Amino acid sequence: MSTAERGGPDQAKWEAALPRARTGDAAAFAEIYRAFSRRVFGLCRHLLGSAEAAEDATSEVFLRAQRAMNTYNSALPFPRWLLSIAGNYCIDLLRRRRLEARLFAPEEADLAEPAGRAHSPLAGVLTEEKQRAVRAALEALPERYRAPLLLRYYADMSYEEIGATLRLPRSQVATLIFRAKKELRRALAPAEKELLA
Amino acid sequence: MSCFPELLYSTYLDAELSAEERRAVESHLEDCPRCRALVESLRAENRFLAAALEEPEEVAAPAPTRPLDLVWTAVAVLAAAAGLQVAVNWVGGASAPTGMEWLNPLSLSGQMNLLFGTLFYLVREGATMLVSSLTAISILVLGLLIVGAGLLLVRRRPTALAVLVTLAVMLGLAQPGAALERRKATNVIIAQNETLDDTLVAFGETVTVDGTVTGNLIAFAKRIVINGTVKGDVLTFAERVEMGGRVEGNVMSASQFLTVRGQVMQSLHGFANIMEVTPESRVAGDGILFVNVGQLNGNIGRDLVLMSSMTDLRGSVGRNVLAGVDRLTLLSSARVGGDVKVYCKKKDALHVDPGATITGKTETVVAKPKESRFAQPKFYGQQALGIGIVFVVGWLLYWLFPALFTAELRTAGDAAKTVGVGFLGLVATPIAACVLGIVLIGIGALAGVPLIATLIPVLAIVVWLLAVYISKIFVALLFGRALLRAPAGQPARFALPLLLGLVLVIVSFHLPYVGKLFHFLVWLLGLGIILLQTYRHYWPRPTRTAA
Repeated sequence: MSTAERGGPDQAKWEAALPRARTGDAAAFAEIYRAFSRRVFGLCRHLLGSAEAAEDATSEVFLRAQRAMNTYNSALPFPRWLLSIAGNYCIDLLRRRRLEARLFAPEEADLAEPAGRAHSPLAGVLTEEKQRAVRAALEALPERYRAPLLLRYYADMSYEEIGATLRLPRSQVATLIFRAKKELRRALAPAEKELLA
Repeated sequence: MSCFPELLYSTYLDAELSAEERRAVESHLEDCPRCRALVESLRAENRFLAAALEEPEEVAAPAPTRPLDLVWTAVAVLAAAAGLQVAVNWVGGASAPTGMEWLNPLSLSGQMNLLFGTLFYLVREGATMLVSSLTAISILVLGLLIVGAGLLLVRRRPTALAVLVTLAVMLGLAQPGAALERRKATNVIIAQNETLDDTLVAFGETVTVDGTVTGNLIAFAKRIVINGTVKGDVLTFAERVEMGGRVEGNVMSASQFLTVRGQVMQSLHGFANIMEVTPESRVAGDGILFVNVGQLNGNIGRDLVLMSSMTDLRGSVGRNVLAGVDRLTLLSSARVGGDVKVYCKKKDALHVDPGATITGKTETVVAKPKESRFAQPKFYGQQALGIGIVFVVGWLLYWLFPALFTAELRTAGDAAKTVGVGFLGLVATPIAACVLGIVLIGIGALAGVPLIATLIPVLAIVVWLLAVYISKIFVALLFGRALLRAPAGQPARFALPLLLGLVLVIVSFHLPYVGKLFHFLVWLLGLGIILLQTYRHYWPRPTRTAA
């Protein structure tokens, strides 16, 4: 139940525009762009880490989406389809940046958790300060944790899709997401205390 | 039943468990309040994360980028260009002693010096480097052809047979047959008593023919001297060419200095900065001469076609003289068997001494000072037509290759990089193609390069010309979009910005002083964009799309 499923206030508009956009109508696609550019931009910025790179990526993603529009079938919710294009594109960019194919190396399963050191799940009312802290912690996460977390909770992609994007087996995706959360908890623990105090 | 690890609950909440696992988890949760609490807190955490990742409204909009202010940049570039142009004019126009003129890289003879120096270097040194690599390439190409033919043989016999036969013919043709001799040395000398029964292709610091070449002579050198006999044609490319002796075919010569002392039994085609035809020389056919300064004292059997800034004619011309000159002087010893027709800018360009003989008519055509092209309506029609054609081409390209048109120059660094890449593309392509062409034709035949391969440089030049032509489209679009910014949140527009940009760019090409420089910059920028965008979007690389 991520916000990706909600199309925002413009949902009716873009839903009406979708069929026309699929036939190559540029004006209808502009409607789609208006409705989703923010979300796509957001994902790109989270993944790529800079607003500038995200702007480039956003325009590229919409270009790719426009070209692939006729291949979209309504089995997948449109926001998810679009965001997965963005996810794929950004991950490719990250890979190219690193010049290393094994950016997202498999991790051994996390069965034996060190007891007692685990931090409890993040919770509470999201204040502006807290949001800033979470974003900073997220930015500090290594890419192999940040990417699956974002693809899951921002782009609302399934483990299967995330696995395909990151070229990892599906089972690894679960581990990475879980680890990412724990890393985030660990990073946020001091801030949490401070904010609660 | 014992509790499941937290990882499993996390996966459960992401709805990624199999039906069986899910049932197991759900039934455990019913019995275990501790795990129920854990799952609840994990669920809350997911909500918390999703909310934290959401973009806060005010920073959200993909801020319509304010690209590097192209208009101001253009003004700055134009100003810089104007300054440069003034400087160039000053240096170019500065009066140096005439004797030193060749040192000035901006004068005609300086440019010729530079040209010959560069080409000479390329031919002499570049060839050495390229021969070995080209031999390797040609072997590779042949190998590929053979492997390809072999593969085809397995699948389609007639095609394969055709390929193999073609290959055999090509190989036969490409064999360094008996009729071609290639010599390369610091000093290539055909000695006085030596007879070469081949066509001679010679490279060297100097090429001297004192003996006899029965075929053609093709020579690239700093200095070429022919005192002996060449029975075929002579094709020379050198800084200094001295043609004594006897050439039974045509002469085609490009050089800085050309001296003709001997006999040319057919036509003489000369392109030179300074040309001297001595009194004892004789050209049996036509003389077709492009020279800066000419002294024509010998005998030209048929017509003389002359483009020159200053030429003295002392010798004889069998038939007509047709000349486009700033100054042509027929001295008293001159004889012309036919008409003299001179095209010039000033009335007194043709000067005929009293003793000179002209059998036919003498006519001087003074070109009217051209009416400013801006005063002619035709000019605007042509420009409009040009813009229309470019616009249609641009639209077609946009339809075919949309990604080429996404370029934006955000920073001055971007612009500099793009211009740099453009410069490489603009300069390197023709040089590479020329060197490749020279080597493929001159030497490649010896190394067994298939004839078809010589088309590669031609093709490269064609593509290059096309790219240069369309380069203004990309610059125009960039400017058009900078001026007509699309409303925030809408994809960039195409048609109107392109049209506006094209008009601006074409107008800028006709600005006095800076127009040409601006045109050059547009080439650089446009080519840079084409190359970079092609690399970014159409260079094959493994990518998957989500669709």
